[in-house]
Amino acid sequence: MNEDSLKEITRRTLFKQIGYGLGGVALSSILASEGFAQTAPLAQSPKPKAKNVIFLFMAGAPSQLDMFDYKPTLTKYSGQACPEEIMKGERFAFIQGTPKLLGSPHEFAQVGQSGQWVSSLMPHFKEIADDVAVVRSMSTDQFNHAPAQLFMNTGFQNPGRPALGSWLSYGIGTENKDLPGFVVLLSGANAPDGGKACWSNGFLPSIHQGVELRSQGDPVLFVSNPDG
Amino acid sequence: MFATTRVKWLGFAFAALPYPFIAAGAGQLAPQPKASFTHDVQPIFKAHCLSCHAGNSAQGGLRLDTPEGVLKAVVKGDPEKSELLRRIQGHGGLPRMPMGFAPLSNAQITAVKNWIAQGARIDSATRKHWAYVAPVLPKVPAVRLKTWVRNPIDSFVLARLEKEGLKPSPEASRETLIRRLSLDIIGLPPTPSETDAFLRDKSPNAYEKVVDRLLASPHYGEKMAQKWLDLARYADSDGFEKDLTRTAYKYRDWTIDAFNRNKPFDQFTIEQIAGDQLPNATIDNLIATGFCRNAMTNREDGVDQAEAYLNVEVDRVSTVATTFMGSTLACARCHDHKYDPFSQKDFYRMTAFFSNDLYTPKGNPVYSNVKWEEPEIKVPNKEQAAKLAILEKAIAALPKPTVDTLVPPEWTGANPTNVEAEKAKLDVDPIGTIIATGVNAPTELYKVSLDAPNESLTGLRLETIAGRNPGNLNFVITNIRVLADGKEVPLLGSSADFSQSDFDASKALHGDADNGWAVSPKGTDYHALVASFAQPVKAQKLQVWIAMRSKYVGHNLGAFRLSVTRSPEPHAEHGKSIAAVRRDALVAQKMELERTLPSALILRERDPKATPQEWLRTRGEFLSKAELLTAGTPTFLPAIPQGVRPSRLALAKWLVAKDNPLTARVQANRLWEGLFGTGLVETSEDFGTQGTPPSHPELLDWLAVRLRDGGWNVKDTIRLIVCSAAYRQSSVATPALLRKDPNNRLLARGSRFRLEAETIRDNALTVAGLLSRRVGGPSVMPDQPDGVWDIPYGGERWMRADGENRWRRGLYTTWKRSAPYPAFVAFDATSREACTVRRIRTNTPLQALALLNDTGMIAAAEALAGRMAKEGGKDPLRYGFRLATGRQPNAKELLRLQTLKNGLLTRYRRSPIEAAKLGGPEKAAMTLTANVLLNLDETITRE
Repeated sequence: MNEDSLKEITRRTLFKQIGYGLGGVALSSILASEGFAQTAPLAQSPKPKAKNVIFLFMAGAPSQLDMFDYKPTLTKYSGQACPEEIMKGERFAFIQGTPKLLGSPHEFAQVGQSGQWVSSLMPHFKEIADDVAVVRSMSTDQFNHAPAQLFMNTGFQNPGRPALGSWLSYGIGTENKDLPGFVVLLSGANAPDGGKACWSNGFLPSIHQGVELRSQGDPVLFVSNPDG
Repeated sequence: MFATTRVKWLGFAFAALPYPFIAAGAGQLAPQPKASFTHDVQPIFKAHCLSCHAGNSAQGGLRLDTPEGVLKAVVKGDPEKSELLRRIQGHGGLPRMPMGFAPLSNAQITAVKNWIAQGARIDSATRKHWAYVAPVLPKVPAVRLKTWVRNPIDSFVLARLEKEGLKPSPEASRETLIRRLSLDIIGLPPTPSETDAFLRDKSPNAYEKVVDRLLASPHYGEKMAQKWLDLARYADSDGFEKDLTRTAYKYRDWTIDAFNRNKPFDQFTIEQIAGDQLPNATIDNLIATGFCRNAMTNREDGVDQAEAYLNVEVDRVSTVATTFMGSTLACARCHDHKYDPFSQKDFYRMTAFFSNDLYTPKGNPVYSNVKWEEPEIKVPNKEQAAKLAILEKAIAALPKPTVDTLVPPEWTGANPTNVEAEKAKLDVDPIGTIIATGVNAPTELYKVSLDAPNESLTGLRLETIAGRNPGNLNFVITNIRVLADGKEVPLLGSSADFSQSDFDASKALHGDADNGWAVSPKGTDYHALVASFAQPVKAQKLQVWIAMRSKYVGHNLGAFRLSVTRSPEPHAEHGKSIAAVRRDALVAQKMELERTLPSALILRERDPKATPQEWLRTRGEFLSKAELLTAGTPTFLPAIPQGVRPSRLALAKWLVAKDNPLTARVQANRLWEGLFGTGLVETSEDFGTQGTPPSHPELLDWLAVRLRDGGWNVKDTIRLIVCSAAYRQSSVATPALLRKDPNNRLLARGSRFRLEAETIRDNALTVAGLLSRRVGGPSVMPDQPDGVWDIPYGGERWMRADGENRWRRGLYTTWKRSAPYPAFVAFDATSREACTVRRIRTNTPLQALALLNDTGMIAAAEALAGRMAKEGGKDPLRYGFRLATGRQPNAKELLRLQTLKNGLLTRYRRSPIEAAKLGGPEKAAMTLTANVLLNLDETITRE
């Protein structure tokens, strides 16, 4: 993902709109495969340290402004009109006139040796605070559900690109050639707004597509034995 | 932590994708005695250097993607003094290149060294990439094994084989050939009788006869469209979020029809990009522009429509570039192309061609729900067009409305002799008013019998009594029937004193749950509806049926009276003549028909005189407008002729102009790919420097020139290819050939590949005898597991089709972008969200699960079992095997099938409950055997 495109900080309006579900990425160290999808470049790969990546994509979760992203200045000006210099040149859907700023109503405190700021919503977080890396520099320029989810999962707001897990499957391979290297665990009743493109292989061979494990019906499509 | 690792992987993956093939194609197969930049050095740069050392932002200012850049790093004839060599050897104390990756191999370093030592020549051909120079007809090469050659294709293939010291393979068996031809040309397997006929046909042109029969089949267009629809990213939904259904199938049917008619490919191209701009554009020309309209549209509220529209333009130009130019132009959206000579300006100049199209903003900006709607047209089918024509003729034939004074009719109150309702209780009061009490059901039907004066009656009046209707004081009458002595009386039309908007009195006779006659907001008044009879009616008993079947439930009549008249002008009651009512009725029918016509998505120019322009966006960011550019073609390719307005039409004509180096090659390669499984250029989506070079460059150019200069004749090109000896070879690979050429790039044998997703289905359904042969029409919803189509909201559901529509060909399956058909996705089908040139074949366990357990496949197995039992005579297993694979089984195969079937039979006899689910032990055993037959590798493979 290109850092330039992540430059602008997000606005509160989009927090509810980003993201959905639970994406899981399973991968492991290289295993030579007979499949033609994996070819010579693997030999040049830097030795990977990560064995597995679990990526939780939680649409409708509480905002990071209420959890990890401490914004004291925003809290200070909460309830006041949004200054013009923040609005200038930006587009905000559904907002008429001058909106008001809204800071987090929750208390923040520094926890652990690292001194991470965490809100009072997560009282037990301090016990693991030093085992967690929090990235606060991510931002987006997408403010609608579907493009934002695609952007989050594939790095681009339009469909057609491989998802994170597809790239990992392509680049690193899978531990077991009979099982998929990229699985997606869906929770809740609905698919994400971004559709199945959120775990699509894009232009990579479809062996790298995310394999859905569903929470209703067959966990994997076509896995159950038909009648008789 | 995660982010940094990922970035590295991404860079590596991007850089790595196509090179192994280049190395294999150029390095191993065609060793050059003399050091050649193109063959020996450039592939190394591509594989190991260009991910950093290319484009304007090349690391350390060193570009290895241009001849000038390369020459800066070498001293001609002196490898040791060349910075390039020193760095890849790690000499001089600076980091060894490629940085962060394994060093180059000794062989690679030697290759670079030799090339520099020999003078570091970059031949002029490499200055311009081969694909950007218009093809000229190459000489057909001489070969030794002349008897093998059936047409010039074979000379090109054989010349290469002889150079490699290889011999072509023998011709495949006739059983294999006819199945290969059928699957390749019409996408369906041959029937046993077609195979038998071919086996018996001893004439010298038996093969060509099969080819011609298949090319003339209406299923040829379906097979060709199947591939084209991936390029056109054709789908039945908008994409994004709600992903609502759109009616787009007219474009799909246009494609099928265009291939069947063998529309010349240049015309085919022009109509799809600019059919609307052709002089006297027909409906078909307009439908063709659906190719452009198929872009996804983001209809979520709050979307900045200008940005969404730019995305649509970008999708259109990217699709055109990929489909016709085999170019990854879209890479230049944010920056100059890293590897090919497309500049960012080229990208936005090309995008500008799509910036002058019509849209109408609809919605309210205050609610952030404005949508830019693009045009649609209504497209009647033959039957509907005929109906429309009849209606239009009938309307035109009506007498001119006269201004005669109408005499109000006299009404005779009719005495109800019997009243019935489905749910309510009906009573008649002394003056003949019918009063409903009791249940106010969701929908109702009242039947009233009347004593009629035995005279010529012309009409019926229904008076509704004020304030008595139980449903919001309103009612919706959806239909009225009149029976005279038990015989249906055709009604001419209806009128009323008042009608609710959109619920006009004329709709009281339509029987349509969506509308009908209603009277809100005047439900508290008396109203009257008059229905006239088409012919005067003489009867003793009349029966009047009043239906209230509206989808707006509970809107039933509370109290009403009926009367009849003999007046020649019954509608004079409402100041209308019979003629006027007849006209109203016909006009209403016509409007109703037009409402139900399918629509097609089309393009129209906003301003047919304007020169389209588009802003270059810095880094591709919508808000960063940098420079307003006029539509134009990439600067390194031919320009649009002077004086021609740069419109979509100009772009389309430019694509198929004689000096365009790409379109003919790309299309010839695509046709080859469809028949051999792999193109002469394997990366059929990328003819740029990152694509694989053609395995047979002269053959590709020969085919391209022949296509371009031979009237862009697609069927003719296909006929030529399949009639070659190269195509007819057996696909059996000897161990030696497998070692020498594992991917069959040299074509020393026939190709063999797994069928495409839709063809796997079509093949199984044909074998089972279930396939519907109907061509075209609305998309259908065959068997699909529950819960696949679980969109966030929007209320649409997958409703499994019944009857014929359950067994249509795969290309008619409803293509929902956010939830594509899972049995197809398992076999590498795409979601059609973006243009896809090539479905890269993969093998996964999900495919076996889909073939074994999908309910559609089980149904096919049941049908095949039935067919084997019914048509297979004494040897149903042999018959089933032959249906599935197109050939006779050998004794060993037959024995294995027999053993399987017997084993299953024994098992089912022991478990009668399980067996009963499939119709008893015998049927169950046969069904599972059929399931195995449909799962055979040979069944889903084109040999």
